[in-house]
Amino acid sequence: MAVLTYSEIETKILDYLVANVSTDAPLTSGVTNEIGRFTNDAYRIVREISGGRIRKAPSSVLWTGAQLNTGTLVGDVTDIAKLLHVYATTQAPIAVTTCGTTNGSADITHGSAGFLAAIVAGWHVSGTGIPSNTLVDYKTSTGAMTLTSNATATGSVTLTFSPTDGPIEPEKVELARIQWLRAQGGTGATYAAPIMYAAVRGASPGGTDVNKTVLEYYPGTTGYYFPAHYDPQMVPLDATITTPDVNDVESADIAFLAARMLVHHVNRADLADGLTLMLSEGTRLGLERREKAMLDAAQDR
Amino acid sequence: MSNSVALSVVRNRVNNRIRNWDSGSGKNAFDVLEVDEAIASAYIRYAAFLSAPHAFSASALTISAGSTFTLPTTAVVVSGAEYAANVKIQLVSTGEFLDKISAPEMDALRNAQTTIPASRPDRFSLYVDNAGAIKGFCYPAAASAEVCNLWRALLPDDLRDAANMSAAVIYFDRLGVEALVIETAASLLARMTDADLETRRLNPNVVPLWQKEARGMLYQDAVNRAGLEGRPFRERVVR
Repeated sequence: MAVLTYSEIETKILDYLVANVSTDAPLTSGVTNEIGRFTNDAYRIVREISGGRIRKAPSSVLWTGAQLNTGTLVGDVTDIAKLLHVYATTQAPIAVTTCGTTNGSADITHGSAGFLAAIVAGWHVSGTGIPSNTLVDYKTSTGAMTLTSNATATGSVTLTFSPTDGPIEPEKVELARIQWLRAQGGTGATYAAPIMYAAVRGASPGGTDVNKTVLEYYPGTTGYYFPAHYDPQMVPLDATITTPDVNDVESADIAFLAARMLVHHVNRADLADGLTLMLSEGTRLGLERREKAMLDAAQDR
Repeated sequence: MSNSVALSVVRNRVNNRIRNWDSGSGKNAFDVLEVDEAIASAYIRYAAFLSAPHAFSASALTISAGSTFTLPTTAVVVSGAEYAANVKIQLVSTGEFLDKISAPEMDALRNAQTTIPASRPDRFSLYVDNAGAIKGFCYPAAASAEVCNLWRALLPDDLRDAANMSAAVIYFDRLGVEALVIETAASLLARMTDADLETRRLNPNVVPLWQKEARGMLYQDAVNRAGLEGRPFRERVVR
């Protein structure tokens, strides 16, 4: 079974609520309307229960200002739900000129074998006609590689390749630990590369920098870039994004859960238990755990 | 028997043994600094059980004209030289080793002499002054500056003095390294809370077991060194 699109989810919801009618419909269809709002609410819950995803990003995308800083980096992306891994590397981005891109194709070429050996699968790619979050999928030679997304333009362009991981993975610690080390001048031990970091959410006066991350690292050694892997925030379904970022079973759960949430709106509370039984075991157990935590004030470990 | 290993390798082995591998989630029982501190501390403790490493430094000491001198602290090791028991001084001019005598013996030679006769020294004694410097007297006093070779036993490095602690070198052979790993893991495990132990599925009852293993290996390492250096090493068989 393929992952259900919003249109398919909406149809299921109406079917389960016995409300799939064209005359005097009890609910307003459409992703921006009533059903769409409840669908996104259900999507948020199912996605959270299903666990995180991983996005690999280079230092230049994640952090603003000078990359070669001294202990603090301010974030430039606003969709980080959770930082999973932070790396430290001295590998700078590599700009390669005269890369051949083709609209609708993920293959790019270089007539002069310009894809250096350092550029490997997993590296981030940016440039004219390259969608966001595109990585090198695989490289067949120093003159040809395939990306994870199709190019949106044809041309001979300069592409910038950046690593999305590194040889050093500093350890995640509490900010207080780093602040203590800075205040005390360390413990007498010297390290040539960052060994620990703390990530905090920066304040956002005026709301312009909502959810940007500030990275504090120790020691504040210069000369390092900080690519990272993170769990991105959920992007709600809308007119453009029509397929939820879940698997096939979970997409069906979105329909069941949204319908369960809507039973009172169509005066069909009798359907609630049946809809709950149709949820997959994983989603059902996750909901029970959430409910228990709410009722017992227990912390979900 | 020559061997060395970077501290980062020992760190990884220690972390692996105590399942301290949640660096990305921030749930490690001990962070990098804590583990490295434990390794550095155990290294010094264990090195004290073994015979001290020696270093030969040509022309490292100059006894100025007179009867006193100070042993150099510059280094043959990263931390700077701190002395263990054995020091030999050899005059470059004649190739003769000075005899090492005790402080009371030196006092007896110098007794009732307002001017120490000057010639070429043939014996010396050492003492530690209030600032921790190793100083000495020689007898007879040196009539002119004497350049000397030094053969000296040194305390092992404090790994925390390395320019990059991750790359600090531990000069133990494989027995010593394994003993260091196990002993450090045992000391860290003993400090874990019940929650840490449960998360890592560790049983604290292994601590004395690991310590016994580590010290057994260290003892054998000491036996090997003693045999290499031609020194007697008493073994007691308990029946």
